[in-house]
Parts: sequence; structure tokens; C-alpha cells
Amino acid sequence: MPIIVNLDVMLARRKMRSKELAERIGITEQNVSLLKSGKVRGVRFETLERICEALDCQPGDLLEWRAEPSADAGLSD
Amino acid sequence: MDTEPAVLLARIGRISIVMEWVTAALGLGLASAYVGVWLTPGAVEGLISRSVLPAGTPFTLDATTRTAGFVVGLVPTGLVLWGLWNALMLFRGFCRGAVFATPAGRRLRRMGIALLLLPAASLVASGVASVLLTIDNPPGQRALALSVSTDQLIIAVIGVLLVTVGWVMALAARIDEENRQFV
Repeated sequence: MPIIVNLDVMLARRKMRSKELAERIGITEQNVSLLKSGKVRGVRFETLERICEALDCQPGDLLEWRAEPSADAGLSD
Repeated sequence: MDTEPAVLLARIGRISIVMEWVTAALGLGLASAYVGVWLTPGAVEGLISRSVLPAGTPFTLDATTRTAGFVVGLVPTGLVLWGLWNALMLFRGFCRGAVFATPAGRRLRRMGIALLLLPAASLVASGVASVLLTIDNPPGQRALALSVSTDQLIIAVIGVLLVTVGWVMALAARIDEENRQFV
């Protein structure tokens, strides 16, 4: 999936556990785990706002776009 | 506000608890009444004279026609019981919070199908019963009694509505599942 969620990196930087973040932002710990692993269809702006407030970061610190490798990558001309 | 999800869900739960018992009682009552009518001396004869054949039509009710009548009458009665069973399971699901769930849509569609088929089933059952009861009569005194009322047509329309709402519920269940995947 092209959108990478770097929540685990930010949690490590802020020395915060998933459980504490879940309590602060009002979602379940299970949903925090799903978000960390990128196994969600999307994030509401409200949730993103709360995460940024709790971790004192920007949305760009949490979300990253990475192009998927194309099928013919590596083939020589 | 009474349209808040929590308020509506609580209301659905409260009504569903009551309706679970009501539909169970209705189903048991209907099944008991159906068997009771056939076991009570004179009850079937009275029912035939009032509801199946034109007044004054002679008929034969021996062991064979009694058994055949019981079986024929099971068709519309069975449909109603099947519809009530699905209603019971639907309300039970609502009690457990499974409102936007695939089974709810399936139950609604089945209730709709029961209602949709009921007028035709009743028509066929009463027609077959009238023939069975008068088949031993002399020529000219045999009867094929068929009746359609606006009530039955309205029931069929409600059946189509429930089937459609069942499809809507299936769609809602998919949307709800998708929505849950957003955090």
C-alpha cells in the first residue's frame, strides 16, 4: 500500500506506549495497533488531529507516501 | 436529540426485547390454535361453513378429507410461522446490538417473501380445500371457492416492501463494515 503509517516511530520518539495513546485520543488499543500496521481503510481528520496533539507532531510525521515498485522495474532496455 | 445513534439504538433494543416475546407468543399461539381447531370436535366444520365454502354448501369431512385439509392448511400457516420465526430472530439480533448486520437483511427478506407468498398460498389452499370437501357431492353441488381481498393485496405489497428493505439493510451492513475500518 503506498501510504505508510509511521506511528510506531513517533511513539518511540515520544516514549509513549500504544495503550496510553489510545486512552489519550479516545480510540481502542486494537484500533491503534491496526493503524500502526496500516491495516485500516482510512483515518478521520479528527483522529489525526488528536494524535498530532498527543504526540506533538505534524501529519507528515505520521504519514508517508511511497511509490509501489512497478511490475517492469529492473528490466533493461 | 432523539436521532442520536445511541438514543436510537437504545430504543431499538427496548422495543426488540418486547417484540421478541410478542412474536414468540404469536407463533406458539398460532401453532397451538391450528392444531387445536383440528382436534376440537365441530370447530373445523364451523370454520368451513364460515370461511371456506359458500353458506349452505354440503361437504364431506371424513378421515381422508380431514387429513388432506390439515396438510393443505399447513401451507399458509407454515408460511406465517416461518415469517414469525424470522421476525423473532431479527428482534433477537437487534437485542444483541446486531442492527446493521447481514443476517438482519436476510431475515427481513425472508419475512417479505412470506408475506408476498401468503395471499397466493391462502388462495390455493382454500381452493384445494373447497374441492376436496365437495368432491363427493353430486354433480352441480361441487365447489371451487376462491376469494381475493384488498387486505391480501396490501399484505403482498408490504411483503415486497420488506424484501426491498432487506436489500437496503444488506447495503447498510456493508457500509457499516466499511465505516468501522476507518479509525
